[in-house]
Amino acid sequence: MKNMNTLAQSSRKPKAFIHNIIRYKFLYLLILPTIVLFLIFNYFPMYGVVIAFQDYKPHLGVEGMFSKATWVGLKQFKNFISSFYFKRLMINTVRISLLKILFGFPAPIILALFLNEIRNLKFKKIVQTVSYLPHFLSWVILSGIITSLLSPANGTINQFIIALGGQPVDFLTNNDYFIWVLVFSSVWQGVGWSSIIYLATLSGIDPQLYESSVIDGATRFQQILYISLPSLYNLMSILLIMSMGGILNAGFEQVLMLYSPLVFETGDIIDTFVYRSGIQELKYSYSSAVGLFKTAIGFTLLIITNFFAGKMGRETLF
Amino acid sequence: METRLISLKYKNSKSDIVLIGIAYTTVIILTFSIIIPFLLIFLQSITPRSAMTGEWYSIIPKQVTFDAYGYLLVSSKLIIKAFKNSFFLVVIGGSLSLIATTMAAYTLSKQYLPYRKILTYFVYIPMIIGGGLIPTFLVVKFIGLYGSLWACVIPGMVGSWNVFLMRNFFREIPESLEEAALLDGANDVQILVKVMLPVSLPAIATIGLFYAVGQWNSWFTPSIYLNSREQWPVQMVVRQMLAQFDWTSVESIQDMEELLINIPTDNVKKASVFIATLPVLVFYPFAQKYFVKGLVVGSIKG
Repeated sequence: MKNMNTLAQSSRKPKAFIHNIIRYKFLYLLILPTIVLFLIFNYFPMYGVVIAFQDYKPHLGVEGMFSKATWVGLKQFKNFISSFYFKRLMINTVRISLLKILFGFPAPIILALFLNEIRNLKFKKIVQTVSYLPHFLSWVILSGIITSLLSPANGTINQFIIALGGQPVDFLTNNDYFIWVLVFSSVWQGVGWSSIIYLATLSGIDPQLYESSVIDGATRFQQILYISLPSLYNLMSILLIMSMGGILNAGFEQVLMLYSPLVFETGDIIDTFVYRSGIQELKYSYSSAVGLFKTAIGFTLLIITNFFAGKMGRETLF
Repeated sequence: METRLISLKYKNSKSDIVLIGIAYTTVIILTFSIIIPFLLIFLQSITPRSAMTGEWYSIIPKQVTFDAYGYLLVSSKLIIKAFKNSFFLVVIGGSLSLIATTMAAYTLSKQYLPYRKILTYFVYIPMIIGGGLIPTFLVVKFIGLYGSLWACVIPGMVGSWNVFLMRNFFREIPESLEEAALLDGANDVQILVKVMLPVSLPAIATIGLFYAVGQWNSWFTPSIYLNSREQWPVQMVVRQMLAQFDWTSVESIQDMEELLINIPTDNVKKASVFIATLPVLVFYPFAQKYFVKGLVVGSIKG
């Protein structure tokens, strides 16, 4: 294998390219479908963002992007930034994301530490199996479940509140409660699944460490504090940094399923706005500009966070 | 873990007992917070309206009716069609995704392949940057996939993340295996099909499962690319039922009358949620061991 490698790379003539393609035609053929698909559905749409700088007319079809395009420069962006929505969308998106990180980041760590202390393997297995489950259900289903719990008319939680002599609360149409519904349902959905990676790290700890700590008289709590938790620090900081990179992704489908115009004030995020203005109101150019604005910021954040993750010893991709 | 279990023969101190108590309580609460809502959904789907007294403690229904399921699975053509459509997406869409992903991952796993780096970047870049919703939507429209179930299969057929996950699995296979097969005179196709694929079966199962679950759960893609009810997959029907059980989703006057008389719409809503959950509930325990392994190997090896 190594001989082939040096052979392929030592000959840098233009001929070498054709030579390589023929030599490894089987392997290149295997990746060809992916290349074609990506060119059409991933790379061409990257060119398609030009409509954010145009006043794209849907009836012109593809030509509306090329020869018949009306270029308007940054008009769409200026419209968005000066609009009433801009501030609200930015604040809502970042607020929901940050709250999700605030609660959703420590939750799986705590769960993993607790599961690690549970010695009844059968019980542990059952808990794990159940806790992963919500990760595999769509937000359509989860929203159905959340609504049936929270609805003011016959939701289980409200019936409980009424039985205790309280007033029913409409969690999903109240601007204050709504973001908490988003935050807690997302933690609830993801906590089990996200704990897997922490549990894997914990199970890699040398048992001798625990044994010698026992000899030294350490309690379980001290074991968690001085052995289990420190072994997670590296992973924790990397995952935290990475989650900062996705701060403009506040959970599109979840919000779309649960929100209503009544809670746009706190619940409308950039992604749902792009969806409404693009797919529903057919303002293609404007909506693309908003989407591109989000991508640009998100990409910058990703580069920055990736840089920091790289500093921490993680294999980065740049 | 096992050694730790055996070696700890010392007596738990008081603080240990408190800690274990907290640990058990927390995980039990979490487990119940997941089981109970599903149980409630099921119970609410079979409790007739007359028996719904509105008392929170009357969890066990005094009367039981399966009319909602009868309506959804027998009288309503919508959900039967939806199952067919979802079946197509899961089986055909899932298989195509799996095949294309395995092929691409195998190529990228070959360290000696010229231009491997460029190809890796080519697959990686769409993971971090994309054209966004509208430009992608327009491309699907221009190509003529709009309004066809294939629009839910082809554009998202290969996921970069899954390619890298699979590539990492292939990399784990010792090179000597391939070299031995080469010495035995096997050709490229034989090496892949008879040597590499059988060894990677757990990985293939994991990725296949990810795609299948993804297709079963997919609502957004079908909702923007499909335009006729005939093509709706299960998730879209459920969404429609939840959003508004409107009269247009009842197909004939007869149905409507029957519905008005016999079936409280609330039962139908809850039953539709339960039906859409069921396939995941059934397949999930069998598949669990694979995907856990898959996630851990893939994410640690980065």
